[in-house]
Amino acid sequence: MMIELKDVNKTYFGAQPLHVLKGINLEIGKGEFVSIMGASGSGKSTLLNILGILDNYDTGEYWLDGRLIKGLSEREAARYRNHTIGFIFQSFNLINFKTAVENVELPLFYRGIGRRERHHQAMEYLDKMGLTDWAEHFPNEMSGGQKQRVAIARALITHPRIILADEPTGALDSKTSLEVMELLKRVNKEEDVTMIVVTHESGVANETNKIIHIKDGIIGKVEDNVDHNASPFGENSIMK
Amino acid sequence: MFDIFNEIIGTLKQNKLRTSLTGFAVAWGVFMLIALLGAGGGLMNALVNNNRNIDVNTMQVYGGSTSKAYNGINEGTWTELKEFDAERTEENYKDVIDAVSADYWRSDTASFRDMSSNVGINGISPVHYVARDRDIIAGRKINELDIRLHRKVIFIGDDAAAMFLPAPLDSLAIIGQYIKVGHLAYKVIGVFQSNMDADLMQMDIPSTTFSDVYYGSEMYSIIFSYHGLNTEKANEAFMKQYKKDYNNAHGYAPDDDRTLWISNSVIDNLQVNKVMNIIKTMLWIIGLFTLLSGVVGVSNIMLITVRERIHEFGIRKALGATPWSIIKLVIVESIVITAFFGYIGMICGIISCQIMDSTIGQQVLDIGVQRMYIFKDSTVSVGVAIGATVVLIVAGVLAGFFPARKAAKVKPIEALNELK
Repeated sequence: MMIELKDVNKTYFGAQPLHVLKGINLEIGKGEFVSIMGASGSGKSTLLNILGILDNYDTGEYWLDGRLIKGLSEREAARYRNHTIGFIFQSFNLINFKTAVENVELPLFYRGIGRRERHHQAMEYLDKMGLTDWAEHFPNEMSGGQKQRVAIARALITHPRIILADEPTGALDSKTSLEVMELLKRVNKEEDVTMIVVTHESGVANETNKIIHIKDGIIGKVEDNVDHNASPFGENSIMK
Repeated sequence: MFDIFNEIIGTLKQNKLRTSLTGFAVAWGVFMLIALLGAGGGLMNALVNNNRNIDVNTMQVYGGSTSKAYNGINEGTWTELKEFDAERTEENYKDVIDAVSADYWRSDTASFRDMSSNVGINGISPVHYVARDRDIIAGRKINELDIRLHRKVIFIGDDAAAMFLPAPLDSLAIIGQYIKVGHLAYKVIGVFQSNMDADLMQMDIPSTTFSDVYYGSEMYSIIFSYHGLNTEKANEAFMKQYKKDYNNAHGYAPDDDRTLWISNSVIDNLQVNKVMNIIKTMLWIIGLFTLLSGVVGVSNIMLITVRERIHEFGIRKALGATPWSIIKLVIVESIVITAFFGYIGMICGIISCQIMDSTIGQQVLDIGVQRMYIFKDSTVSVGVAIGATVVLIVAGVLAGFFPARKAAKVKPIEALNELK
């Protein structure tokens, strides 16, 4: 198993303590293409943050690629994020004052790879995304789809074991959304990387091979979706 | 390191106006520090130059008067220095005293051709010049050979030379001529810059010649150079012992400290040094506090910058940035700002010191008694420049530290959720 969650609980302590995850049990295998679906407030983003070691959980166990992720120091967590996990965000989260290629290089910078090698690899991945001509452009000069492709290149460049995508199409129109999902599918197949997409759009979820429904902090139904017919709108259509 | 600088240049370009305004505060602080130290140094150099004889370890001993009755001698009796006091001084304090000069003085009439005037005649030996130097205009001073051979030579001031050979004549042509003092002729061997505070024109002749001519004259003072008394305490102790020995030799009360008046260059020097050190410390403090306000400005700006960049730091952390790499980024940025603008300030400061040196540094104030520099060598030393560099880097680290720690502490998830 690539990912194994055993009775994971998470409570936010504020003025009113909020029990967000109420005993999550989940297994995701190597190379799977999975979506986590749920309404807002269902705990799906919290779950993704825990999977991405961006947030910690209170009780339970989280096993990532055979290692228990618990009580890590900031440094260890940073190392895991850099080596094992690739992130794709709804708002792209590119650094505005860096060009596309510099953004893609950044994870390798934190891995201590030399300048020239970084640039070479980043150009290679931008090429895979069809963005060679846009390498020296700044994010604010690009369309949403282009920005998301830069972000995907940045997530892929470290050869991560899993990619976590948080509403990757949330800021895109339906046509671009479809392109991005096709790209993720291709990446999942070609790079053999475990792909987890968090979404509230059934069309997006329909593109994945397994849909995990989460409601009120508990895992509900887990659908196998190999034929991609979970969406009432059929395959290859994302309704906005 | 190169990568970090690239990163920083990228972020600094984002906020050019803010960066340069912050930088101005630092540049101003360093400029003030350097300019103050340079100006202070110039004043102190001038002070030292105006009192340059003070560097030499000499004491000059004058007679005084008794302050208490003792052994039949009344209070208020004038005390005198005798020939044997000079000999005693030379013999008894060999371990510290290097050379002794017995100075005599009396007034007499000096004349050349048809000009004559009442003048002060000093009977001295070369040691005198160690303690009270004369600036030679032409010729030479009294030397050892003059003393040994009891030569009838005379070293006169430029005021006397100008009187004997008034303009348009060349007053320095007096050298080699014979002038008459009392009823004897002396050969003029040199002309010195006269001290215009003296009531009488002063002339120097060898002390041995003086004793021959004015036999039985009262000794004016004993001057000696010495070594090994480095602290104020050691000097005080020596002077106390010297007075006690004098009192015993002359039959005055042993603990009477008014019988002699001793002017000690080392103690004066120590006091001048003390004052100068205080001034120097004050200048550093004022300069550093000016710089501090610049540094606080940098720290403030770094806090704002960090606040603005929280989201970016969140992205970096998600991509695998360690807390230390974030801290490094912020601190190095802070150091780059302070060091870059600090050096601009330092260069401006050094230039202004050079300007001060080449303008008022060249002015000589003639106050009659003496020609004085108001300002001299108002340049800062390499040591000060290195010190200021160290201060700048430390300041940069300090200014960046708290903002950096704040940036590193932020959880990546909170930073990512932060709205841009």
